[in-house]
Amino acid sequence: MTATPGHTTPGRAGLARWLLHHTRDLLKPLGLAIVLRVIGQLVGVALLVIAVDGVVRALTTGNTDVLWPTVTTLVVLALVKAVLRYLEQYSGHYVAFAALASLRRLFFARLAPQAPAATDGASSGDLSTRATRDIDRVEVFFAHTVPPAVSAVVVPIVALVWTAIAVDPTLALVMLPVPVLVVAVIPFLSGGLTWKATRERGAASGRIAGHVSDSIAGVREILGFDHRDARLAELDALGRSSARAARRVSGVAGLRGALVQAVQFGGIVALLVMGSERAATGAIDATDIAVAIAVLIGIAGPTRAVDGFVADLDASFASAARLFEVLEREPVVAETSAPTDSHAARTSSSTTDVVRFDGVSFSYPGSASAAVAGVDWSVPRGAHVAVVGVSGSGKSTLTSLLTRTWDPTDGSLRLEGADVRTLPLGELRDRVAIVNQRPFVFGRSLRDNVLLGAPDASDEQLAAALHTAALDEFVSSLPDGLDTPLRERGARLSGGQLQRLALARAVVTDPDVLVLDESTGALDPATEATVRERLAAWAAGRRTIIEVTHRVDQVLGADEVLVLDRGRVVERGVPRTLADADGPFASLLARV
Amino acid sequence: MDVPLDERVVGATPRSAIVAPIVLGLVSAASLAVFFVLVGRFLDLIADGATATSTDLALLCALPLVAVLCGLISSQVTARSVGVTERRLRGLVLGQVFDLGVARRSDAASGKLVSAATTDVEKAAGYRAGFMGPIAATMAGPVLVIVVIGIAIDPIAALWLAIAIPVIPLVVGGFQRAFRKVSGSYRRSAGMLSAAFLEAVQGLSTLVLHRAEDRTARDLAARGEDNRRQVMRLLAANQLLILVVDAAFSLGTLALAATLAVVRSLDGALTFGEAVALVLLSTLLTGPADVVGQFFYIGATGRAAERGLSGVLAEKPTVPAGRLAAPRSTSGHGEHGALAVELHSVTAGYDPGRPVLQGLSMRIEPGEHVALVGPSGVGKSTIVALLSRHLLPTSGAVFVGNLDTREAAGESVRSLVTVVDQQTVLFSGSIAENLRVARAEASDAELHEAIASAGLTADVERMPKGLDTPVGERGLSLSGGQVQRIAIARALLRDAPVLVLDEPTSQVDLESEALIIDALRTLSRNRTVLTVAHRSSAIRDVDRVIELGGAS
Repeated sequence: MTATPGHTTPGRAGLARWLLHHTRDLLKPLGLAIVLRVIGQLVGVALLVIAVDGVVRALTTGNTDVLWPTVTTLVVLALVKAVLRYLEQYSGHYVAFAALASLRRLFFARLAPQAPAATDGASSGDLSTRATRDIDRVEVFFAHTVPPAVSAVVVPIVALVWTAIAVDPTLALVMLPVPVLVVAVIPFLSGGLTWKATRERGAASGRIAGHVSDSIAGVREILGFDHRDARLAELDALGRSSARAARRVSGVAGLRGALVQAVQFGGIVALLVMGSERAATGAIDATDIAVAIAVLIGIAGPTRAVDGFVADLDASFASAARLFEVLEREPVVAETSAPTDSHAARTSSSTTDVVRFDGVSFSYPGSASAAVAGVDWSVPRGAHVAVVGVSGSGKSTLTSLLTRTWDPTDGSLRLEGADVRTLPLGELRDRVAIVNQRPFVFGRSLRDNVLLGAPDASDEQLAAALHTAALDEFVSSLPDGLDTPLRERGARLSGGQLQRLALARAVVTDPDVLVLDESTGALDPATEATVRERLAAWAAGRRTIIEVTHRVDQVLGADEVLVLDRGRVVERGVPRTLADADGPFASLLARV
Repeated sequence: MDVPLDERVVGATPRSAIVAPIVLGLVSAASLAVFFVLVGRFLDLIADGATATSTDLALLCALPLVAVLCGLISSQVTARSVGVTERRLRGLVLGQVFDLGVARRSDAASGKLVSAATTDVEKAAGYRAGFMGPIAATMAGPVLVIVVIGIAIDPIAALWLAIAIPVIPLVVGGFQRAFRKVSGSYRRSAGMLSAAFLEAVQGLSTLVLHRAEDRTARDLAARGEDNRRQVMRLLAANQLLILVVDAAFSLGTLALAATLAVVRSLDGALTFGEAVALVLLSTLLTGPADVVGQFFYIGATGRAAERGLSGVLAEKPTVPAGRLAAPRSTSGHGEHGALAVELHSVTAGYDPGRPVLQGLSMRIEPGEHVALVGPSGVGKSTIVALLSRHLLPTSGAVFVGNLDTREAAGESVRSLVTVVDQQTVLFSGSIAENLRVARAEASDAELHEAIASAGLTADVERMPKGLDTPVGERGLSLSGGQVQRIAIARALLRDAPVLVLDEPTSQVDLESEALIIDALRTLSRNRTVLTVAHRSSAIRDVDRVIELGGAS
């Protein structure tokens, strides 16, 4: 939702081409799976035909010699069919996992340049859905839709041609409408209705989930206003409308299934009726009719599969379209086209300002009001400065412009004299590190998590960073130390430990500018004091610290503070002085 | 993990959801079996050069239609039962959320509750209401088919089939058990592959800001490839089940029936038509083969979902329900005088053995405006929780008017006390709907009066649809200041005699603060008011200040 749209989503043919282009390595195993399925299902038809044929020969010859060849053939074919089914399933899964792997690789590679703008905030849940559910659906399309679709067409054609040649062309003609109706007509009846009902059901499920999470977040309000029964009644009403949509979906599907069955059994009756007339003329006999019925029953299974996946096909294409939207989106910030010699720019710059905002304004895409408006600010090298304001005042937005999560809609930002848009993204993010309020921890070891941005750091550098973040004692208290695995399978960190981990992770990359975005809120006062002291020692007047917080009492010791309200600078100055004035800073301080 | 199934979870599924599909399934199986018997008779007639009567023909056409109709009705009954079950289960979960009351819950725990009320409910209903009946019908169908074979074609062939058919599930089940370990590690490996990818996507911002995205992509690809090889190896063993099921059913039904048909024909016990019918009838015996996979998968996920729901329902509320109703006018509006509020040597806290308040006594007179001031952690929000009966004192008593919170029902206490919090949750819906949360039957005129007193009229007039403007998810499209004034308008509509203001301006932008303070002044008129704040400098217009925790 955040980035500028890349290309408009193409139609189904275009989407299919796009998908095949990205999964072209899979065509060979996919072809194999199709061939195995077709042969396996033809063997299934042959089993029935041979069984009927055995009965016919036993009765016409009355000879017991018929028994063993028939039984042996049946057993062998049954085993062959089972093996083919096994191989088909195996190759189908091979395709599935390979498709999954290439779609995931593609997803990650295309999404990375769009981060963090496209991956932060409200859209992150939606992205997770696309990364899991939508990719899975497209995978299902490849592995479990294409082979049945092909065999639903090929198996009846082969079976009917054989019937026409080996049994009787007229009987084959009588049978023909059955697979045509089952494969090509009935599944597409009422497709629009199903699609509409399916979407309605999806929307109803979404409303239910939203209502439930609202209720859980608002328990206090609901109990406070004695709104409980009303809330339960609303949920029940939503459940009713969702169930109505679900009944419509299953009603239409059930009707289609009933039609398929009726046509298939109708075909048997038609064979009997037409067959008996032809038998009366002596052109065929009862055994021919029996064999034709066996063929018709044999192809019932393979053709019926179509109905099952036609409904899923819509969902698969919807998922493909959702993937296309993400994968073909342009990143909001472009990598600099002409890499300037930024080192030269840095050294030649005579300015002592490490960071400079010149008339910076920014509005989020689709938002009418500016998140940040007309900010002019310069931060001298080695300073410890602060940006304060209530939540929504634009303070985090302001600092996110510094690492080019977004580019300002107006004005410019300079890092040691160079416009940030002229610096390679990698270099910029090396020199400016941001520690966020809710750091992300990966399910790897503690060491891997701290060294995320500096995999080649020495043990001394790592130890120093842990010390600065006051995490050293905690690490040595762990039985496995730095090798302790984190997340689900490992140690669970407290909020404060998490924030210190994020701090160590930033410090170890040795940045020129460190941005602390509400990143000490979970520390207890004693630890926070230790961290501040050690950070000051680490910065040592060479590195710059920009602190973003709503807790204004935390930044009374800063060199300068910038007060933002509704995206505008409403006050700036030395915090101790502002605290005694009767301005915005003092009002914020009064709230703490 | 091993929570016993809650009987309310099991009982949410109507009995008809199980019985109707079984009955309909059996009728359907019987009519199809008879249909194939008639097909055999018809073939015999053709072989003898005779013609079928119109009654035979009519029956031949009618029987499949009966079967089809049964299937259709069954799917509708099932869909209806699933809907009913889902609604009952969701009601149970949400009711439990409300019974548990205001709990301090992590985001993860809240997320789990949401998924219990959505995903788990769907899976549990899909299993018990949508799956058990139809699957039982599918499993029982072959029995009826064999009975028809025994009566209409040949009892000896029926006997042999009756012996062979139960062997098939035994073989499959035994095989399943033998490969359980492989199946488990296969699922785990596949799960790990997905988890690693999802984690990288969710942590992508962090990766990019630390320039670790390329390294992670390479690592992910390598690990993915390793993992995929392992998954395929495990799959090779796991999928042998398919081979066994397929072979067992082909051999146990079709091959056996064909052999019986040939042998009994040679014995002279079967006519041509009967022998063919026997072969064709064997195709009706393979139904269970198609569902055996679903049986284990849907069964396992459904039972896990039912256990998850039972776990949610097993949690006990921390605050026991009270019984006493508030005296007479509890509806909250209308004329009643302000009430006194009293804490009588109250000890209270959230964790047993670690009281936040100890032996605290205070009294607020009817109509008095009192400020409660003190640093964080001193127990201010504990007092708010006590007054709204989200918490009971471990010793001592809390009175709102004459109502003792230990005896009274939560609704009774809360009909007398309205709290305006630091942050207010708005529900998806319009502004009017959010206001009517406080008083469902309020007229439009009353709503307009409330927003006027809350200083919101100008804001609402600027909105595209006035009071019918949707507030967006959790009120995100409104500013923090507007949300707080909606909370004040709600409190006005609620019109309770006691008002608790829990730092209601601490999170709003500086521009809105003055407007909110004006609105609060209107709201406070003729009520008993307790204002909570960090420091006394934020307090205006009060009769008395109570300092908690001394130093401030």
